[in-house]
Amino acid sequence: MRNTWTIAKREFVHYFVSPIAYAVAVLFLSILGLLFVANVNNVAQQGGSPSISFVFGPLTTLLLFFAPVLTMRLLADEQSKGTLELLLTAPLQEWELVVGKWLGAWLFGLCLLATTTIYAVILYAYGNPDTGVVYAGLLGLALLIGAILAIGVFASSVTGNLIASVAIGYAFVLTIWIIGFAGQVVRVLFGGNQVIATVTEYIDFAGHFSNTFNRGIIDTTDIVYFVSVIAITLFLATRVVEARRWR
Amino acid sequence: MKAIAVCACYVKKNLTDNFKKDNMIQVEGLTKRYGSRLAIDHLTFHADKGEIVGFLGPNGAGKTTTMRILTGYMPASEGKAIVAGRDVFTDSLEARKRIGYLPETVPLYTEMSVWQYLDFMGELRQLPNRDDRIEEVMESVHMTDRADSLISNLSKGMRQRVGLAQALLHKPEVLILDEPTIGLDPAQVRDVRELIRELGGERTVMLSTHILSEAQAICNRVLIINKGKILAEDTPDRLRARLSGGDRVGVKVMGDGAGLTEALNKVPGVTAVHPIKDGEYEIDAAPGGNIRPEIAKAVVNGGWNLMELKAMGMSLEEIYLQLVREEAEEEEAQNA
Repeated sequence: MRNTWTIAKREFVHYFVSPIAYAVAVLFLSILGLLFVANVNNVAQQGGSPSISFVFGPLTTLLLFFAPVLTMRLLADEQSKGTLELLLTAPLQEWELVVGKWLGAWLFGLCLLATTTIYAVILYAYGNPDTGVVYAGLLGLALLIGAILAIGVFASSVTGNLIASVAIGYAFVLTIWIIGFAGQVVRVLFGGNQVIATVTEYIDFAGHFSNTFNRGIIDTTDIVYFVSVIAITLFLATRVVEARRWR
Repeated sequence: MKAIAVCACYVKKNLTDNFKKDNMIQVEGLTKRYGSRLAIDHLTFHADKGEIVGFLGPNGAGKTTTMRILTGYMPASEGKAIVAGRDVFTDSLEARKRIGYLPETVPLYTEMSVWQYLDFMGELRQLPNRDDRIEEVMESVHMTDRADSLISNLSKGMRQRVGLAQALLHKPEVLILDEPTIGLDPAQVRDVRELIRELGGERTVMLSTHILSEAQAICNRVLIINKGKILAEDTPDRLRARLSGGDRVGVKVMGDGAGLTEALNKVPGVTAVHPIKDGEYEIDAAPGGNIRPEIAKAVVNGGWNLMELKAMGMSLEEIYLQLVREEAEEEEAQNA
């Protein structure tokens, strides 16, 4: 456990000296800011009440693009630079390494998420937003960010090449993102209660956030879902790192 | 042929010595296959406490593979390896705690400063009094003034020293250094060798090199390895003595030394005289007796002016080349 924290700390600090992380943060925050202003303006002109979900909704989409970039170097870089040899010959277990890497990235992700609370503050100052949506949304996003970064860590574990790592990350994240549409297509074509549609809709990433957390609903199904995604992908990444020894 | 027989005997003798208690590294029948290729082939060797053992062999002989197995980076296909009393396969974590390792590529986090890097590695090793220990180690590799330099700005030699500092941090009982002087300039090579020599005695050091003079200069014992097999194992001095099969003496006289060959051949104990050039000879003698006084007498009594008389051991380089050549010949004979 102590080793996990050592690794996590290094990765977290590394984000603050890494130009890529700053580029991601700048884009992320400016796009989010623009969308917030546009959305709030729209709703206000139509006489509606602005909600924090205007920020959280697009935020999930932005994560789709930025998460694999944030995680690409975590394990891929260690492999290409040979520093993995250093870590694996230190008294450190593979799972400690993988979980530490993910934890470092997640903490950075939570920092980005924390900046969005400024929008909640603005909404409270000028309006009357739904407090339940703010808390549920933050909790849901924290879990969603953890899950999407865990997928990125797994993508980073299978290759020593940064570009391949990003590409694999996108492949997985996009698949899990649009798989719900596949379910809908099946329903439209074959109607009713198709098992395949139920399964794909359960696997669907965004649905577990937009249908519940972002409407102020905290459902254990969704919490279990995100925690499972984190656990399974980190387990797989650990096995990949272990397998590297046997080649 | 004779040389091979001698060293085969010696290797066999060492096998029985292998079960001594103070062995810090004990390897038996270690084998690693990459697909169908044998990278190392039933290696058996040991290293005592405080010994500096050199692993000498051409590139691709299996040195790095062996070291990676000893440090727990990769498993062996067969065989047993015990380091500091811990099995590196079944008790890997405990073994790794007792090993300091400098991989050949000297992996470092180049975006960190020297201090940050050592601090990180020390934290992974869960060192008590980390700051003091880092300072101590930096002093021993003469890097104290570069603590805040970014590793990306350091020269190759400096990086090597940082790598070495990392390997020393946790006061490991066994140090495994893969090509510790490769790519350094001569002054840095001397520094690193000096440092390694200082480390031997209290710690067991195993280092690999393909530079013969290096093994000769710093190692207590040398293992010559080629194509995954140990060809010879002994102290550099004894290897020289055993494999040359006797003593060799160099003689230089003033003038062309006409007739000296005959005179020298008459000296008892001389087995062969090789004229090198005018007035210079190399004499092979039966092992054991010191033949130099006799040769000096023969030269002076014969009326030649003796300029130089020296004992010449076979250099490790010659031994090494001879062993590798003999093995290749043997293989050819088998294939024919």
